[in-house]
Amino acid sequence: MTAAVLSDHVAAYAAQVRAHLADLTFEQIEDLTDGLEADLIEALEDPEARPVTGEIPLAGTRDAATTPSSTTSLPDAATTSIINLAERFGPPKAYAEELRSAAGLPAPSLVKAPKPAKPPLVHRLRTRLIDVRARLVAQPWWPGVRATAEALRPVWWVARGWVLYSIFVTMVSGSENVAFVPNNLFGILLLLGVVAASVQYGQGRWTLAGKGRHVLTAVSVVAVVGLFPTLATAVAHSTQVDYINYGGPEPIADGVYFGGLPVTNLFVYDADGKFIDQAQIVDDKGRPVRVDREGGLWDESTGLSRYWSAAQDSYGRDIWNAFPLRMWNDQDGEWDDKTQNWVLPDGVSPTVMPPPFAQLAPIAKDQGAPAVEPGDPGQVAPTDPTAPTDPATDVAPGDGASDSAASGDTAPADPAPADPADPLAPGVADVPPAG
Amino acid sequence: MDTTQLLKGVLDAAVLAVLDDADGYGYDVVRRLRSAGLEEVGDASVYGTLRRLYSAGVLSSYVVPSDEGPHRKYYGITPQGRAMLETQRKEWHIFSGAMSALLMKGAA
Repeated sequence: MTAAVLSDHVAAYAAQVRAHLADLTFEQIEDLTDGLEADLIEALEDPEARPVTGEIPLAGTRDAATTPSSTTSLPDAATTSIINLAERFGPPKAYAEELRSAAGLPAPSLVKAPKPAKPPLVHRLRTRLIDVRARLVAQPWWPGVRATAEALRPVWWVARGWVLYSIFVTMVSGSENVAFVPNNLFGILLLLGVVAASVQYGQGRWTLAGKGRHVLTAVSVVAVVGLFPTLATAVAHSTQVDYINYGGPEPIADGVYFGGLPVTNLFVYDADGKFIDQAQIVDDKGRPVRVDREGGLWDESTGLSRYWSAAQDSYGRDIWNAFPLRMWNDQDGEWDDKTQNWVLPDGVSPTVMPPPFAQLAPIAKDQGAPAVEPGDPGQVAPTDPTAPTDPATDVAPGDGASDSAASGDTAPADPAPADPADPLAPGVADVPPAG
Repeated sequence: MDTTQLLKGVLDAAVLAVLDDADGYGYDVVRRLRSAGLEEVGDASVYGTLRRLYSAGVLSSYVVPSDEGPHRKYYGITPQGRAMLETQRKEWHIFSGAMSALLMKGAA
């Protein structure tokens, strides 16, 4: 009979013994039967063991005792069979009773009180756990595994400290701020402290009496349970790529911006610095450059909304890129129920927006490149002052409202001119200093 | 004479005496009791007694790791155990003296 088979039988016998002790507490059963399997096996292997009262002698046992060469081996299967351990140790019930009475524990009451069909689930689970553990311990490979586990215990102590540190820090600082590795001095101190405590506890230097022991055990259990999730989250966090918007930059709404603020109107001056009213501006693709937006402009100072008004071409179509756009406000307009919008009634003209400057400094002629003629869209020279210097529909900051401004000229390129509320009446020429 | 019944009364003392000699684990104690001459002693009785004496505080216990097999739980005698053993020695001395005298009277 192999040792593995034997241990199975022993385990089965022990399980039956425990079943007869089922009315006792978990601790009591554990105390009484911890090591029972090992003792049973040892008893079976002991060549000098004699059966005691209530046990039936095995013929093989005596034979083994008389053959010294086989004192350490079990009786072989040919001479005896010990499949039923009850023949050797007595029925499990009797064994359990002997165990119980010797231990001074009360016998199960003779008058069987109506008891539930099965012991409570927790109880059954516990006895099952003891059985499983006993079988495990009896396995031949168990010592090796156990030795390895023992050798790795210090690693577990450190790991436990780290897990507890992570859990504690995460709980304290909010779940968004998981911290696995300390990034400041206090974190390092805390981690070292918790790990040191874990190691001390693991080495058995710390024991609390009674309830304290259970608390520490519970903490260890929490660490075990949390080990894998903490590790997994830590790995996930360390490899997390910062969120990059792979879809490209957010689409910017159409419009003209300068200094981060939208431009609300444009004013064009020709090469001589003269203001051009109703200049039509297109971008490099021929698209009309627009500054108007839905909903108009909210002017805080006056509490009014201001709206742009398109020019009309000869066909009556709205032209939104003829600058400067006329504007009007709520006071000028009236509410149209049909479109749920403010509209400018017929006959009322929008306000003409005054240019910020009556005149700009003329552009110096002959800057090297030939002037661009209309119809030569492919000949936009970079230094040509009459062409838009930055051919983009979304006019980047630095170019807003300066289509006519010469590069490097002293014409101020600040966003203020975009606000037609400036009290700059036409005629009040703010002639820039001669450039 | 039913030695089982006799044994029950003195098993405590026997176990204490064995452990006074040297610490031992469950089956080890059984073996030593048997080789001392108490061949009828039952394993379960010994184990139960060990447990009871441990609960009473007259025995201490510790686990000894083993390379080859499962860890064994060893029992050792405590000072209270030694005191109890001493008391039981005296009681046995008196009791056995009385019994011997009683039983041998007829034989003499």
